[in-house]
Amino acid sequence: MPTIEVKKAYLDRCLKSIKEAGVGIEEALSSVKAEIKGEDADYYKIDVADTNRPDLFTAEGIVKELQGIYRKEKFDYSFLNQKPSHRIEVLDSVREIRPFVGAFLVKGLTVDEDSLDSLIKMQEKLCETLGRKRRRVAIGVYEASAIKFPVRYGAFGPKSYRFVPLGLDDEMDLKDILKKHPKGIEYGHLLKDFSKYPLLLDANDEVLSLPPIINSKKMGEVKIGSNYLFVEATGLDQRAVTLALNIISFCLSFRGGTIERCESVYPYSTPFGENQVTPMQMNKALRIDMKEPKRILGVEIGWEDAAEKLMRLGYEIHGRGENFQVIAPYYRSDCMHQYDIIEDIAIVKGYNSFAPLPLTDFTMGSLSREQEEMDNIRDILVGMGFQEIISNILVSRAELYERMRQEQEAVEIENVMTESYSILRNWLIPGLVKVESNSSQIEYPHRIFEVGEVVLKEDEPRAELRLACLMSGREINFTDVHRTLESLLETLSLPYKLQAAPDHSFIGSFIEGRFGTVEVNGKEIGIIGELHPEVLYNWSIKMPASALEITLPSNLSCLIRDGVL
Amino acid sequence: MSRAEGELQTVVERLSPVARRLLRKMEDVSPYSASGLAKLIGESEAKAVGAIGWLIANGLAKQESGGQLKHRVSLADTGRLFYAEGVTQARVIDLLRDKGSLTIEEICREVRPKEELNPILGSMKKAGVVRFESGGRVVLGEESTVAKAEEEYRKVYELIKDVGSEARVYWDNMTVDERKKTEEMSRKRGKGKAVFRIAREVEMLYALTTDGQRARLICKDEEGAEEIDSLTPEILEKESWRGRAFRKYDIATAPAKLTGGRKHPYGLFLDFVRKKLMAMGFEEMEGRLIETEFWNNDALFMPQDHPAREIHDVYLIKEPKYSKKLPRTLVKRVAETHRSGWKTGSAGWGYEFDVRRTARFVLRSQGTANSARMLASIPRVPGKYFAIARCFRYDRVDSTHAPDFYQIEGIVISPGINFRHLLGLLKLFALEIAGSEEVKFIPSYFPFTEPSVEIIFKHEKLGWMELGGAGIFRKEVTLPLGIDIPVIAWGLGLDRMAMVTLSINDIRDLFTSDLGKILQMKFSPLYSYLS
Repeated sequence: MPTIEVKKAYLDRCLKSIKEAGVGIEEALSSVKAEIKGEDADYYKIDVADTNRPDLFTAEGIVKELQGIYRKEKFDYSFLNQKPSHRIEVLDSVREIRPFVGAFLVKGLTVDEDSLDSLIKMQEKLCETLGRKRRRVAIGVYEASAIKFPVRYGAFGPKSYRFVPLGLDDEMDLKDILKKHPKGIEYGHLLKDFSKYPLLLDANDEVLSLPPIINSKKMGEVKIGSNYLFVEATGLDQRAVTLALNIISFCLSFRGGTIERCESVYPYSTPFGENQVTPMQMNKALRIDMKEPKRILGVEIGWEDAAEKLMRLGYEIHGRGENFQVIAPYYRSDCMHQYDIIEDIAIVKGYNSFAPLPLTDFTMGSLSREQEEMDNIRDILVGMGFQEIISNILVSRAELYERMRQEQEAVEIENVMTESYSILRNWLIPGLVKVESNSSQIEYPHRIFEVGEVVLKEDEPRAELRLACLMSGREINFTDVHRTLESLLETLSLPYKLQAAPDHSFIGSFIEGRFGTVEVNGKEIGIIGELHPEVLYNWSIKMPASALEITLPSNLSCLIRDGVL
Repeated sequence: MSRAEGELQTVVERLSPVARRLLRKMEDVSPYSASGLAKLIGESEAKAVGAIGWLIANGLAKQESGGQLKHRVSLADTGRLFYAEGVTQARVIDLLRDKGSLTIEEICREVRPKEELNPILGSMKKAGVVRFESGGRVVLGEESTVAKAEEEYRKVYELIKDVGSEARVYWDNMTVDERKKTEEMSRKRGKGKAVFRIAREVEMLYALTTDGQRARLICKDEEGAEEIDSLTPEILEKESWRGRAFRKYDIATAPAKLTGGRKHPYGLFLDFVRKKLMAMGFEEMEGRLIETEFWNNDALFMPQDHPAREIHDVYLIKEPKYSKKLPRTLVKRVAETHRSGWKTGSAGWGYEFDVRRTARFVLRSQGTANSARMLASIPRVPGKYFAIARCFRYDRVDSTHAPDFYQIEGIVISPGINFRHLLGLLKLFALEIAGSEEVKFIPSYFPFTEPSVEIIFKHEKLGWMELGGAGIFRKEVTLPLGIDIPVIAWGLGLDRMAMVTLSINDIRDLFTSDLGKILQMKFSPLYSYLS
């Protein structure tokens, strides 16, 4: 969930009229699925839940949406119909490296501290989220008056051009920038497979930037007071590149700037043709079947009503009645299905205005077969005086292997976060032993058990339900757990046999000669034994302990097949 | 004025056990101080004074003056206030711990009027216990400073309780530390007001009257008679109990702790939720801890390059890496839905679906995976299903993030249901599970539902709390899995509620390996988290 920082002064000023109309800022934000998570002296930190709405990752986007919903304010984006005023020529050399580029210019918006701060924040946030850390889209902003058009976008050798990158004072070649500039170090991996690097150059052959790494200091530094900006985006996904430009152009236009569109001229074909003008409306008309809102929302909504709600969110409305169609605003790309639009209607109507209805179908409630069996076994053990334990399934290798003197292979995690949670338990007893090691202050004897899943390493790894019991105390030995097992299996009507198993794979954790397997109908269903003093030592336990672990009987298809169960 | 033997006998029988015990032990002729009496019977001074009160009332003992000059401690006005409602400073800390930050006005509303609170807040600020933020909001200071102050206030409160209940009366009998504290707090300091009052007075002494001396002997005799201690099979056999008295137990004596078998309190909490869902007609689903990307994400229409799916959110299995048992037809439909919407009427995400990646084994990161499997398994219609599933998130583990946790979620499948039924169901959850009638619906976002909603409910003490999220499954989810009717999907976020119920502050303690902590957690199904 993206968190964005919005200047308090800006948001408070823009939402003042909404607040005065009786809608609190928290409530207003909830209608764009956003929430204030914190604040400092200057900024609100706002969590935006809808990861599909990068237009709401900007202060302007949120303000616009709220002013539309609550104040029915309309916003003009007729500039989308204007002819392009500038051109970017794309060279064939970027086709395999970073094939898409688009741009626009903004006039008449004097950059002040506020708008510069917002511009930098939206650029960073969009590069990180929509741009997938600059891989899919990277964005650059420049002072436009110094640029001589047309701009060229092509790929060049590592030592072909030299320029002073933003943030440093020395002229460097492209290779050195990738190696030495902080941004080169951070994002250089995006170009590591290529022998040429993309550059944006103006008609005077001045380097504007090395996308997606860094701008040139001379051409690409925006200062307070600038009132003519050039904004470009490059990337691997043309729709995402266009969307980024659409969102930023919207924000700057919302702040009062005049947008001038740019044309990208490709020597190869792209999803948007060989000539693409940005920003552009990518959304297509979507027909709304007016029976659907009724079906989904459970209330009658006429198309005029729906149209009125949607226009507040910036939708274009086409047709009427049966032929009711809408086009989502150009800065959005999340409307895939008419249900997306129906939700927007419901949000503008207000969720709390819908009267809840009870479910009336009759259905039988029931526990799963597994839970029934677990509950039965839990009841039996509690009756025998055992305390139930619930442990983590994700544990450390040391807990499962070294401390238990075990090597029985378990399923491991590839992307380990911390060693403490790096492997899935393949038996339950270590979890109970861990409890013992942390509970020496509790009066003995201890009787504890856990019913839960373990994960077995197979071609298709599967979880199995098990029961483990552990008893510990001065007088506790094998006989005590044996009695527990006897009583349990007697209650479950399962005749069993204990078999000495000196070569068993789990023998290392137990004292030889005081360990065995539990067999039902000739099949091994579990193990039982006195824990080895070395294991107790490894866990710093100073009290003898005995334990047993069995697979829950209904899990054993062999028993069902053989008619034991 | 001496009473008849029979009358004395009745008086003695009616004495409380403590008073009788005291009477029996007052063997010395010289008078006892209150602390001396307490020592005789091994009880608090307050209890001893209470017992001697009984004897005095029955004419068996008398008060004499002439003891030592002592310092008597009592509560001043502020002390009585603290005794009634807790130490004001501690209450401010508690409030801020709960709410994070508050304006002075908000604190005053909860704690004390402004003119009383201002100097207190001032001194707390000076001590670094609270800070003032811009905008006049008050927040807690450094945790270590706050914790130290809290400990200090706790000790003071203990002392106030003792003095207030007259368990301890004399300054001279207190520990050095307590003496220092009471003395300090009995003076006016700056604008602070006195908590204790210390007055010099002559200590009271107590002695038995003549009747008392005689009554003591009656008690003594009683004791001497051959009382039965333990009732044994032999006594029953010989009927030797006839005509004999039984030694009386002090039945109020605290017994040794009995540790019996118990289910895990968090397990009981989940059982409670399970029962509630069952009562609402939900059938429990089974699922898999180790899932494929297909069921965990792809079937739920989460695009494969969704930020939530990057390596940082889901645990990948090291070995084996890929499943060979995916349902081919379903994979094909889902792939096509991601690419172009398939037959769902959706535009799709518009990217090339990676069929290799969809077979990747991961740890189940959301219980919704079980719902997807249920939809694909030709479920009963109408049907209501739920699961309480152990899930795993690739996240930094701390007091609010556990590496594995239970997710409670489910679905409702029925031809006629819509958004309003969804709201009705959520309202029912709030009432049945959280015991709350006050709820709010908030727009929300889940990749697999549209429309999506979140429900919050009002907790009496903690204010608005999250209860869960829900929505109607997107057609892009249901159609490829073979379901062409509306499906409500819901999930409840009850961990915070469980923590409140079980009185724990660290989410990792839900699965703690400390038996002491487990034994301390209590679960009562009677909405204990609401009070």
